[in-house]
Amino acid sequence: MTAAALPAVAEPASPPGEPDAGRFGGGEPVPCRACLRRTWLVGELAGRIEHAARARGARRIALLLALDDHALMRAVDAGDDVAAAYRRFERDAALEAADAAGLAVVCRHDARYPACLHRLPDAPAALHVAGRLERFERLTEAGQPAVAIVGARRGSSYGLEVARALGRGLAAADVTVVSGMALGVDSAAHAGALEASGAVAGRVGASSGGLGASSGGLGACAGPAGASGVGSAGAVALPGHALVGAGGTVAVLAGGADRPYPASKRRLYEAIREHGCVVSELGPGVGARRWCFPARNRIIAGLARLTIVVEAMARSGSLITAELARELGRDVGAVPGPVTSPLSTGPNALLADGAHVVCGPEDALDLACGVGSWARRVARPAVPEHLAGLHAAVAAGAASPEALAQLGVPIAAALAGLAELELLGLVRRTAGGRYEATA
Amino acid sequence: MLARVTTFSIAGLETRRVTVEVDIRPGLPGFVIVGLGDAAVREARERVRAALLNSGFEFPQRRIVANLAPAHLRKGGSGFDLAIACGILAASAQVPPSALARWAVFGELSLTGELRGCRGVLAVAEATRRAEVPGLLVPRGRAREAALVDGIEIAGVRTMHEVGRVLTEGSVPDLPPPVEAAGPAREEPGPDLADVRGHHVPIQALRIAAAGGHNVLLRGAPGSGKTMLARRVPSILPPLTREEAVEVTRIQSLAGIYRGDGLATRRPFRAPHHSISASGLVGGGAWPLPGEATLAHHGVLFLDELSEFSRPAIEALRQPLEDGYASIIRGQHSAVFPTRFMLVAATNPCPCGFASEPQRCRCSQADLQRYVRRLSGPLMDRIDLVHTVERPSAEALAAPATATSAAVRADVEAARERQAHRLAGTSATCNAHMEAALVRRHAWPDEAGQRLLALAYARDHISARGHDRVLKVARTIADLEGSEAVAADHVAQALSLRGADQPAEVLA
Repeated sequence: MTAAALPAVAEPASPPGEPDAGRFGGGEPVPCRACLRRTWLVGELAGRIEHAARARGARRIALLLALDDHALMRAVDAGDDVAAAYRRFERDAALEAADAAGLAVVCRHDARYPACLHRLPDAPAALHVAGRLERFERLTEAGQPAVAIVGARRGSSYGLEVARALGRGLAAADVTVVSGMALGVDSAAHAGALEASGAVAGRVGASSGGLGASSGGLGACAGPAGASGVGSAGAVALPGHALVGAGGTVAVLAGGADRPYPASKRRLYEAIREHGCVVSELGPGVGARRWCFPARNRIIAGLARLTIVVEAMARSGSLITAELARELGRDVGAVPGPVTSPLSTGPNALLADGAHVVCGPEDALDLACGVGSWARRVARPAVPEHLAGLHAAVAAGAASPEALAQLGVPIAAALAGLAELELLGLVRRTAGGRYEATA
Repeated sequence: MLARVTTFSIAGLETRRVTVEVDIRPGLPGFVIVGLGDAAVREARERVRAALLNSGFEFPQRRIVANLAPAHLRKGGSGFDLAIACGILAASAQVPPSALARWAVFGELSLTGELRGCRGVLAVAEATRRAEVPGLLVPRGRAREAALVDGIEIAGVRTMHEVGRVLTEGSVPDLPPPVEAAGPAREEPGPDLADVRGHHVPIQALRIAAAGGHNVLLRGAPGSGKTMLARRVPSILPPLTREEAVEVTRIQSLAGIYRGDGLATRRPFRAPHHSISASGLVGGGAWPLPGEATLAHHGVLFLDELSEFSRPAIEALRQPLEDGYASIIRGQHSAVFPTRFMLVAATNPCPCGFASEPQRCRCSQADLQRYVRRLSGPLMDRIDLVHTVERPSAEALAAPATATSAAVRADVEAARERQAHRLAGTSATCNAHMEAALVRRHAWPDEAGQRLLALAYARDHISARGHDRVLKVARTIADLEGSEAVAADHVAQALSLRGADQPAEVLA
């Protein structure tokens, strides 16, 4: 595999036909034309790359993607039409297209491009981001720990529950949960992370195979304690109160970031778009080919400092993601499972090979952020706006509904507000019946 | 000659028809009463003889046998005196025996021949009507009580002599005039909420409790006002319906606490001392007699110093609270006493009493936890609302009254009406009595409320039982606010007023 050369020093936009070198800190606005063009090209050539990959094996994808634009066009026999379009490529048009699809573009030269991805030998030229860009920044910034959770599409209920609990626990500890929004384990991990950040509770479900989303009802913010033995994590919020400070989730899609894949995950997709972010290497509207999946897996592995495989059959793509992570020098974790289950073949084998044992979010946190980080990192819920005054009053010494009533708070509001604050863990009721603000 | 007299015996709160048969035949003079009477019945021999003689009647010097049928049931009390005396008169042809076909009798005799009142006349009157006997002879002092029952003729008589006149001539004396109070109205209003200063939230809690019939526990330091508040709860409950008033009057009559002036108008308020025994609380004894729980039927049972009540007494309240009745089973007698009351309990928050005032509380963590654990058990399981009452501040004491009973009662009545409408045809009469199926159907909150409740459940703030309790209270709060739907806000308020299902975290 060719190692990417370090980009040369900035120069004005290269004339068409010349191999372009990446620019760092150049005067050119980001996302730069070169990266946009690259992204467009890969999308344009998706079919040919698929053909070529099939002919020469999946591993070749990495080799192909490492090639620069012209080499790539030659390698897949791109043809004159593509070459002509390449020369005519317009940056503004591309940006407009992305904008129309509701996507923001972050190219390699953007300061916001995740630093950890730079270390990929075939880093994506640009990321299309669906969702708020500030959130993307926060979830992928340099100091923010990120953990990837991957696994089988047909996960068992054990696997799905563990994935969900991991997602929830990690997000509650302000860790970014990265996955591919595939059926099964991926979606469960995303759903758990969304729960912890107070998003749609309960209805956003993981499914295995074709089953529908798990029903809401009383299963909402709580969820049964997962097989990992974890109860509801610290920062569970009341409906309607999004928590600031809890980690979120990033979904890396194989196709364009503007549409959900798989289509059955539309609601999950929308929730992730709303509360986390959805990214893709490919432009809007590009359909996912087979080669796109291992390709996006390298991004998943690249974004995270720890990749956890929850369940995987013997030849699952998740194992390849783990392998990629290992090659990148990242940590690999696996969730042990019953030896009688074919779904645990993968993780158990990884464990035999030296992967870290992950039985719950604490283990994952220890690996990702250092031993003992669970206690340090579980987020304190923020005070919802409509309760801020009440909380302040309690903190200042109004320790009961009666005291609040003396201050002029309507009784119903005092009673209801105290109950909410108590549920959020922001106040505590003592044996004497008084309320006090928690530290 | 044989005579038959209809009278009634009182067993628990029930009456049973007893036919007194008197047989007089030639033989050695003697007077025997058979039929499993107790000591008081046996002593009737002396009372009847003296009363008849002192009233100018003849006491037959023959063999007299009085049988209280049915013979296998134990009978007690002094109410059979009159029946036995009338039976003797009839059997000795001193009064026409046919007269006794239209009069039931009930009363105690004094040696002078005067009639004395005894307990349970109202129940006997009801039984008389049920037995389709046209008239009832009772002591004059109880005539008004008996007259509360329509459909029968009441003869209130003072002496055996008058009894004779009624039976022979059929001339029924007029009922005594109703007792008019001299001076202040005899039905002086009970304590009113208008006496209370401050206590805004406790009044709200009591408003909710009264509206839904929920049992409530008031915690607070000594002198914080718990007892004062509790005593005012009857004043905010809706007035007795006619059926309830009759039941209450009957119970009071049977317990001997009836004051004899019309149907009861105020809801009973019973406040037994904490040294009371289990049978004192729920009923018992040989006969058995109703307990405080029954005397509080359709009213309020106030248990002050809840933690001081003996464990057996509290345990004994389990069935009354759960089922609304207490069944006392003794050898031959068993009685079922109604016990639908609203429970108001008061307790200190900790052994020294001042846990709600952290500066003054001298209790250790262990003390606090032990104290809270003492309260757990069947009672706490059935208490829907717990609220800590604080001492009103100086400003609050100087301020005008927080609320009046009339105003609160109006809210309570409106809420009760909604419940009655909603629960018509079911076994429950108010929200507190809804069982699981009804809770699911009528008290299920909207989505936001469901999530809130689920969260509280997941956080172990409520147990499975507590879950339904919170919903019932939320339903009541919604009713008070005039809302048909139970919203998250109502659930939140209810959560705030719940008891801790586990001992609450203790101050470090």
